[in-house]
Amino acid sequence: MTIEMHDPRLLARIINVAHRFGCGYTKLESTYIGGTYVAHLDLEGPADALRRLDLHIAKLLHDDKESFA
Amino acid sequence: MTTSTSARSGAHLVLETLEREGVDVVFGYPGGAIMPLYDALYGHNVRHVLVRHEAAAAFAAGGYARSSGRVGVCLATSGPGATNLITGILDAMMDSVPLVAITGQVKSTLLGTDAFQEADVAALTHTITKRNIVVRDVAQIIPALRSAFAIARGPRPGPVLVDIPSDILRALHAPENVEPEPERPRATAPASDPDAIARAIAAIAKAKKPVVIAGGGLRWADAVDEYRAFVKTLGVPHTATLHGLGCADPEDPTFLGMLGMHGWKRANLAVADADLVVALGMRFDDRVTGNPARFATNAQVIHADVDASEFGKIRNPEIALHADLKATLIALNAALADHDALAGHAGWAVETQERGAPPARDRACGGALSATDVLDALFAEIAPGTIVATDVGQHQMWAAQRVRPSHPRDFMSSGGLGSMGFGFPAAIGAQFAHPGRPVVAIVGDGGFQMSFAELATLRRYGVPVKVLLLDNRNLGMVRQWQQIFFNERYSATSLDDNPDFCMIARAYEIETNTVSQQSDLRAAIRAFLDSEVSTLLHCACFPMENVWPMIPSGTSVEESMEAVPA
Repeated sequence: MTIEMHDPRLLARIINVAHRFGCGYTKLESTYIGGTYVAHLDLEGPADALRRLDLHIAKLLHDDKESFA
Repeated sequence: MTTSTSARSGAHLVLETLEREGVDVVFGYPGGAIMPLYDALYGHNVRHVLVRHEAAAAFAAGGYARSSGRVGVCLATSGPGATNLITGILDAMMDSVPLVAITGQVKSTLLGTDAFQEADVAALTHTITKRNIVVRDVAQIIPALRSAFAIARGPRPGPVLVDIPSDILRALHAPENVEPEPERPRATAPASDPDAIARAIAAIAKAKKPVVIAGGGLRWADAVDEYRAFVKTLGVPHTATLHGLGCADPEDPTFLGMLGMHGWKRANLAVADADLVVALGMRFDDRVTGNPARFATNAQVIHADVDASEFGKIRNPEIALHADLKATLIALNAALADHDALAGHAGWAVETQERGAPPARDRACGGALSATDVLDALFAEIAPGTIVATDVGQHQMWAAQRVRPSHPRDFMSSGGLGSMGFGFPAAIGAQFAHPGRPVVAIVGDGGFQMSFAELATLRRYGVPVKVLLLDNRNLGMVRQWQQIFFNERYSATSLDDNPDFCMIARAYEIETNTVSQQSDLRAAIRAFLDSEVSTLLHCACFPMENVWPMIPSGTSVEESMEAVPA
């Protein structure tokens, strides 16, 4: 998945949550582009956990966006 | 409120922003790094309440928020002050309580140097806040705080921490926009989906044995009236999680009482037999479901929540209603008003009401004063509109089984985290939010010893919180589990060396009374409730009383226990 965020610390949080949900990652890259961080993550894990993780990441990104509104 | 274009310190900008966000009181404890903010508080309109431990500041701010629906604010200094807030911050996260914690931090130039009282509180709270912000520039104080309040409010509320180095609090800044801005609203919640609403109505119309479960989300969505209209129109049995108590009209006969491990048996049986569960703003917590694979096995589930990440976390719903709960219920009620093919549920509702008596007094108590005797007497006498806060443990569950709040904001408890030491400071916070209303803290002897330094807060501010102390000289809930599941090996749960609680309270000039006999109980409760000042009623209770019924962890209602197994 590709995500954009203002606060790069979110990546650490996403990795934490992924591990808590029984998932992991095989690739993690991040680039700073014009005030935002663009990250590419390849997450792996049980399908149900990945679905929950997607929803959780969406929530974190929503609050990141709200912080910089 | 200052609207000057002149430069002000970061600390003054913090207070100006708090005022703009409608904050009238903050709970905190000073220290080195946050001294500039305390200096600005001196004589300021924002009222500061000095607690006696930072944990109490977070719990009091939580109590303020839970009872009022507004954002609670707590302050602490860097290092130990900040780390002492952590349990209260996590408590707010688990129970979706809007909270803004502001911490002082060491000077910017010392960050990362292991400076005196330095803690990386942003890292420490990263996973237990919705968001945390380290302010590195005085010009960022106002936007950081405004976004903190907006995020704390929701759509699903929760805690936000703002960490501000002391030099940033001292630095001067003249904001360009000095006009008072309106409060930033809660972030927009998704609107209800008409197709999903139609499918939900079709499922409800078809169901023969529907049950509605009210959760804490209804409180934060301000959807209690809509909820009551919904269950009244349907005429179906309904139950509640710990945080959903108060959503039902206290006089509604179709309300079955609390659900879950120590819930009413009839509520658990109704859900077990239901062919449809309508779950509103609840998250299928393990204390509610027991073994999820054996929870409501015959039922389809309609799950309504503002947070999509709750869908399928524990139980996959057949129909997910992802929207603000108030909007969802308005849409459901409108659709029901146009629907003429609802099944009659009166027979089912009566059947569920007749299955199981209210939770009973533990027979083991014999003629001794039981905690449930005390709570039965309390709730028989308590005035409508009284705010009740509990601590955590047996008394919490006994109270939840018996309380009939007229609104979910009138009953507060640490549900998700189960933090002992919560109840007393939370009650203080609620009293500051509602100065004219009666507030009762129900506490056990274990949790009260984690928080009774706040008796000083009662005395200092003259807040008339009443403390009902159920003293069974044990960490009762753990002792109960040791009795049932650990072969009566009572490891570290006896508190038979408890202090004289009344003597302690009197040292803080708090009125006290003790009751140890059933014959004295009613009069003691009346005097307690009638008192116009803060009062401690110490109840010396039977030490081996258990909470019944009990569905052991990870099982289902079939394994429900009502006495210690022979």
